[in-house]
Amino acid sequence: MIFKDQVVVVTGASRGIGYRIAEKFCSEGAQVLIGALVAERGQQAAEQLRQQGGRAKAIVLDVANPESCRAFTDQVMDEYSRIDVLVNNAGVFELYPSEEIPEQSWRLQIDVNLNGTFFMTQAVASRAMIPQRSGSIVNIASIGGMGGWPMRSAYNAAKAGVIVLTEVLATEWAHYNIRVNAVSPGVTRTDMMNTLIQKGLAREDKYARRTPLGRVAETDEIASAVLFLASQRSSFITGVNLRVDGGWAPYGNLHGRGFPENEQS
Amino acid sequence: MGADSPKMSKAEDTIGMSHQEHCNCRDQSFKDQVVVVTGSARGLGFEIARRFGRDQARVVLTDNLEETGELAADTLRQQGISAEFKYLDVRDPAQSASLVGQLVDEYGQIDVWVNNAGVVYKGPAETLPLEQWDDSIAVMLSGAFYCCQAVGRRMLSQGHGVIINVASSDGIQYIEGQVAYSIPKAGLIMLTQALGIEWAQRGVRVAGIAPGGVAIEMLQKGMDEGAAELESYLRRAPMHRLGDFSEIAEAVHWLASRDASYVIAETLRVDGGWCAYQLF
Repeated sequence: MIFKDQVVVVTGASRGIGYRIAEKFCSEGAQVLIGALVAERGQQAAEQLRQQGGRAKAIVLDVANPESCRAFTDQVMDEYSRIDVLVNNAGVFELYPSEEIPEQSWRLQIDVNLNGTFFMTQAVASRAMIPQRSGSIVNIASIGGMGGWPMRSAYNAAKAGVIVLTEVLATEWAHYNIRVNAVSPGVTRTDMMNTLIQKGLAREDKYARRTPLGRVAETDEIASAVLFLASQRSSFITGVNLRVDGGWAPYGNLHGRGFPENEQS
Repeated sequence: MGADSPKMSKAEDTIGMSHQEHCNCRDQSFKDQVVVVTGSARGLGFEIARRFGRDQARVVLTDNLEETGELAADTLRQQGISAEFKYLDVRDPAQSASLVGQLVDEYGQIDVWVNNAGVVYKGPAETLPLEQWDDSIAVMLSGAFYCCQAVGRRMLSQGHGVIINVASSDGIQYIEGQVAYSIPKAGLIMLTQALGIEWAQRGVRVAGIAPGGVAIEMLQKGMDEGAAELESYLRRAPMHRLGDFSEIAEAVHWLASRDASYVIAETLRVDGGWCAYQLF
């Protein structure tokens, strides 16, 4: 129970990677606050976690709105008086050729993925972590933020922004005893991914073949990296971007067909 | 997830046996596993070996410092840890190959291998004695590769294993006078990528750490060059403190665990934000 009685905020935790992160924190004894854009989905997730014996509560949060971030933080502070861990997980992804992406979609993806991460971090740091002189922040970036993936200009630019933001805030707030790190998941089996597959925009086997490990990630594998970085076990780690990608990013993929040994699978 | 955790959800089942096993016995995740750490007669290597030993692993310390190594293994045994020392000069590929054979005969398996052996030579590039350059490459790059190849063959045939390479922040950012140290460490980071990718499919996971601002090197430097050196270092370090060996060992331990099953070909910085900071 390495997070026993710690107050942990996870944004976008109604489903997918965020939900799994919240679940893992619950099983380690944390009081988890779910930030949810859609109240009902957040309530459902919190209820599910409580049924499993976790301590979880959902609060409505629109990370792209600084006002909402401050209100969320104030509510948590009123009730629990501290925030030990913040996981900025809320994200939105849309596929568009860059020459056609509507301004609205570009702005939405930058707003949620990058601005949202900053607004929420600012609210939690200024109202909780800096005054209490402690805290650990984990940002969910992406291997997309480390390179060129066609049709993902807004998402990848935002995630790249998150990676550097992580470095800036880590160096700026280290002296407040606040650590800031990022996790860059590879392609992970999530609702986001399933939606793309259902729409015919992605095929899991293609992603699996491109990955040296030969399969996509499970949400649990991303969550365990987040918990490690959030915990005292990583007390000398700050400002890093931990790739959890099965070897994706450094793989040169000579023939563009993925890893040879994966072809049979 | 601890053994007392309420449940595992459905999605968990898809991850497969090994992960499930881990979830049920996290605290003993290295129980009875054979963990080999090179360059572990003292310092960081010793602390890494001890960390696995505390988790009930059977640890093998190797070093070319025989007396210190035997004493180190003694110390661990006194702490209730299963430990033995084996002489190994990683410069010699015949020695790493024969040690792997010996350990397999003795233990039947090798689960984790940590390449930690290193040597430090400092001096300007234009006057660096070539023997020092050669020796740096021989120990920290070629030596690591020889070990990887020898133990990698074994791990590939047994179908599982984890190799953790101890690189350095000096392999990522350059500090003057460190040419002999930085270049093999940078090579080691790429070696981690290469082997991580080559062996991912066959159950052998290769990852690394890049420590920076850790006690030994800087304290030594501080003593060599006067305390002012240490002070200016601490001013520039974002956390304004040195890292403890135990903090580095903890990262190695995590990376070697099943918790890090999707972390492959990655080198994790454990440097208190040193590399991230790019101002004054």
